[in-house]
Amino acid sequence: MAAYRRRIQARRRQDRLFRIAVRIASLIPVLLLLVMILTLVVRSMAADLGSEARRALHLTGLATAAAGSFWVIASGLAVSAPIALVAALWMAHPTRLSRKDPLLVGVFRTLVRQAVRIPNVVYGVFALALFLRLNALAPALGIRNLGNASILLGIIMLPNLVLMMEQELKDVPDGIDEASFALGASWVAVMVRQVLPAAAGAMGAGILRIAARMIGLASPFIVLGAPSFVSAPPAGFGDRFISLPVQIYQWAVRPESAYRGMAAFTSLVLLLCILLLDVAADTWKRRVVRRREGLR
Amino acid sequence: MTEETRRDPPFLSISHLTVSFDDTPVVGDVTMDFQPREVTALIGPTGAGKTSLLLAINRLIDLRPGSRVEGSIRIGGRDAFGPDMAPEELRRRLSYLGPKPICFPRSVWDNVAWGARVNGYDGDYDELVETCLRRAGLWDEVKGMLRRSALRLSGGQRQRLCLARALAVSPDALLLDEPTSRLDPIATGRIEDVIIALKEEVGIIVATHDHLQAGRLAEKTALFLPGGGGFGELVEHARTEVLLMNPADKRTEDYITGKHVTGTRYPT
Repeated sequence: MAAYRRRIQARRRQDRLFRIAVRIASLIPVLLLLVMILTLVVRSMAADLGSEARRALHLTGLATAAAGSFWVIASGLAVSAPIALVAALWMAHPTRLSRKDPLLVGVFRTLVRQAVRIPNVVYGVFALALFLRLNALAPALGIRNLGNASILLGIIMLPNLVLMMEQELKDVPDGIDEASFALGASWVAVMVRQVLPAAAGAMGAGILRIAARMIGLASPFIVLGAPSFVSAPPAGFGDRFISLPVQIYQWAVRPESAYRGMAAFTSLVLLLCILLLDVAADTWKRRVVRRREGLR
Repeated sequence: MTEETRRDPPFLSISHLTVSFDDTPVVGDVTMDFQPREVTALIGPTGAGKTSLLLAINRLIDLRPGSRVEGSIRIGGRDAFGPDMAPEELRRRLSYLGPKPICFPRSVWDNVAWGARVNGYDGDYDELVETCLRRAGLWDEVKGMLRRSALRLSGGQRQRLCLARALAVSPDALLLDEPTSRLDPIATGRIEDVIIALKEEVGIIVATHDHLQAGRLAEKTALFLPGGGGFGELVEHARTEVLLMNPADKRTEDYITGKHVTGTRYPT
């Protein structure tokens, strides 16, 4: 009996140790993030931004980059979301009833997964080659403009969007397919007027999440030849533009304390944007799913 | 043949229908006629092929991989497998309702209107929704919440909403597959009242494993049992009171009185 009690106590000790270890391990990434944020705060406070006029100039630079980020992501989505949607509908529709992928869909999905894993720099190089060729045909097109960057970002987002949308289409409860067919609906009607509306909310949340991932993207734009100084937000697709991470990069490599401070401050703004988008995406997704399951 | 059959030509005739999955038949060589303005009950144990038969009648079974249907089905004199009969038309005319009441994740109003809309109904939708909900015996319970989600309804209400939704596409017949198997006796009673009220307007085929329900609802009853071949067979098709009280086939009597049935796993 005593031996048994000792074994139980040993197990309890093990449990406690394990729980402490898990807690510490999960705190490490949070601590790292906090340290980084703290460093950024200190750096941006410490920087001497100079006169009132110079301060305003810096803030304009930040706003310009924020607008650039917004426009490049928004127009990138406008390019690739419709294409991704058609591809996802094509992939999801045979699977929803039979629970089995046709071979072609399986191959296609594997290829799309590979496309997600290609480093973004490679996409940048690819896009540069493409736009250089196009520019040789029609020199007026230019290379370092918002339109080209949007196409590039659209290409990078496309496989992410396809996989996300396909999953959301598949997550719609599948009984509604047969119920719709039983009313005399065609495949197109079932997918477009039943499954798609049921998945639309979750897709919106998924798009926000992908956008949050893309805000921090700098390398492909730098490969494309991101301009170092842009003073106004883009007014059209032919305009030069700068995005938040590229702005951070440009400011961070300069020696003056004011620029370093602005780089830190802009990083904080970037982090805040990502956080807001992610929280919005999560809240939205949770609401959509609850409504779909009839819990609300 | 009685005078009755001459007065009312069958709206649906099945002959030598065999349904198989991956070349294994699940229900074989069924031949039967269905009369308008009456309820036909398909009874029999689970696995006798009642659901497969219902799904084959309106070709919903085409959507299930590996399925094959042989034989012929004529609806209103037309060949259901003919080139001029689109599966969509067949499914609208013979509207199927499964045992699980599946509501679309939309409002009550949208649930009823959806089928009519994809079929291009161009009348007054509010009127259609109200009429169908009334016919399904649900109007008084939902008239104040037409714009609320249908997923808030209870199981029995959902089943009646599905009935209303099927009525909205103006079918020739409703194919009801175990419509009350998931419901309590009160909700079951409501559904049965609705079925009896509807049979003047649409043909009704109801599959049920409960032969007492067949007795309450149906003019004609057909018994399906797993046969010697391992697949379901039509054993007897007769007026319900004849089949239940005075069956012609020994197996029918055994099934109804709860005795051993050939081909099942029960010992002799």
